[in-house]
Amino acid sequence: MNVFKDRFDPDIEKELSLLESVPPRDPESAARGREYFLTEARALTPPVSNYDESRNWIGVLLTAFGGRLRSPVITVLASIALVFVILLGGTSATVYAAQGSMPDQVLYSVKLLSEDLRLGLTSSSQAELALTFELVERRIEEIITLAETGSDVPDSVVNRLEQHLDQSLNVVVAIDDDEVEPVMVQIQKHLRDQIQDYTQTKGQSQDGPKEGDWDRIRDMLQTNLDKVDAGIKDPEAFRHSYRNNTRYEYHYAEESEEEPVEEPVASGEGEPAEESGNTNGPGPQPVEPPDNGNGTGQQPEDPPGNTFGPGPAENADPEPGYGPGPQPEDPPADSSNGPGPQPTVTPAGYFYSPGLGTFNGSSDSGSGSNGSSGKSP
Amino acid sequence: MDRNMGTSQEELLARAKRLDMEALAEIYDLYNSSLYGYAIRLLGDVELAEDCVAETFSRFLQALNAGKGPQTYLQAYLYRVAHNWITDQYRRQPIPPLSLDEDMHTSGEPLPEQKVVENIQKEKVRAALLHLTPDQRQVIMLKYYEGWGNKEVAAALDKPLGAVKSLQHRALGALKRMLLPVEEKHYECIQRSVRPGY
Repeated sequence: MNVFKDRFDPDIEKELSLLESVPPRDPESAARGREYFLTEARALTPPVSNYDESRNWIGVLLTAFGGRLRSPVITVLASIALVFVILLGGTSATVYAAQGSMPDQVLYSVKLLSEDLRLGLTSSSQAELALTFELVERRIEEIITLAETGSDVPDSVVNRLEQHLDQSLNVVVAIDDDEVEPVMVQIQKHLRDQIQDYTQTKGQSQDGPKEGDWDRIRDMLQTNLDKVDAGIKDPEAFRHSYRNNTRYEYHYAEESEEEPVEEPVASGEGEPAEESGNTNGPGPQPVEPPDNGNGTGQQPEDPPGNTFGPGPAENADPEPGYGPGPQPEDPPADSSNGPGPQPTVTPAGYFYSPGLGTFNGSSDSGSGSNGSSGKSP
Repeated sequence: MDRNMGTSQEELLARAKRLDMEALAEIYDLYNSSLYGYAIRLLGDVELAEDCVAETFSRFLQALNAGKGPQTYLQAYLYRVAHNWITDQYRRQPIPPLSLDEDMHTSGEPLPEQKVVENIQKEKVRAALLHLTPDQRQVIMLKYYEGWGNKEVAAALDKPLGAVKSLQHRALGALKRMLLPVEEKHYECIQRSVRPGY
């Protein structure tokens, strides 16, 4: 029952009724939208874990403090833990203060380090994607702010932006097949928004990045958008090329540590070298990654650890906020992952530091990739 | 009217807050079509309307994940998010002018004359709605096209009932001035009469 129409001027009602009928919706688009929503929801759902809390050091401490402090050893442990907490508190304050720093300021390196740490701690592809989006936006803001204050934009900031863009594309390699399209569309939309916003900012700003920097950044965004456009048309080829260029090498390095190729035994009891298919020498051969492309290196016990909540919306209504806004530093979600990420040397000569999420060294991959999001192996 | 007012909606919302997949799917199935209709009426563009629906549900999810989101009126919340998204869209691009010429039809293909005229009239109504303030527009959209009562509209706008009635009154006055030819001519006469030289 439309209570409004009963009391309304019939002439106005006649005009408004022109928009009453809605053109039929494309069922395919509707189904795609539903699938996209459910995929996003699934990514937020915490995975079922049979992780045994008592096996990590926090669990041990909790167990110890849950009972009585019976021995001097435990009392000493408690003191160490207290000092650790105090130090961590001071560090957190520094990290928090660093979040607003600019590339020409002292705390900027702390800011970058905290970003790398957050990237290393992401436990789901969706969280990783949201974080890389946030980092891309941060870098662009920094570039514009620097330019507006008349400062030169350091190459390191531009390179870092390129790295984040590449990291967002690398997420596609690690996800399930049915999630590829929605994620690619998400990346595509983000890149389009960035290009649009960047263009508008440039148009409105009296100052702004110098023409060379401006073109370079715009081209960088556009190149990535082109890649994604092509990737949406042929997702498999896209994943294949990325898998071969970056993740592939990273995972090969991990696998080669766990499963070293058997050396031929001089006594003749071992397998002959030819059976391994190695005709190029004694070096290990790359092993094809699994077909599902799930090569994030995540541990199955990983808790969600996704604390990247929505930031403020663009409009005045704060409640339905959207988008990854500035967040306080993530607490370590799980200390059971060992003492922290260790650098890994890949066969292609990359120096991969999972904690920093970066590849350094000469790259001839041709993908423009110089970074990859890291997970603790 | 809200299809899930009362306990069932509260239960559904409670399950959604726990990121229960079945509840989330149910919410999507309940509201996606009506949100699409709401969006396409204002945007007049199929792709943008799909984007609006996707973005609305995405923001809803993000809010739930952050421990926020609607407390009681789920439907009102979703419409508010959609409305804000549409308002943001028109902040980025100019609102179409009220005076539309006869060449204006979006498909680019030749259409029967009657269809062309109908399209022009629709665009004119859409433009008039877009020239209202965001709150006035939402009152008209929710009351006229969605058939909501004042209470639900007040919840969606997060305003008291009296404010909703006042918004409606002002919105109707503005629409009359913009859409009705007699009023328009009368308005022009008034304008002429006060101009020097006439």
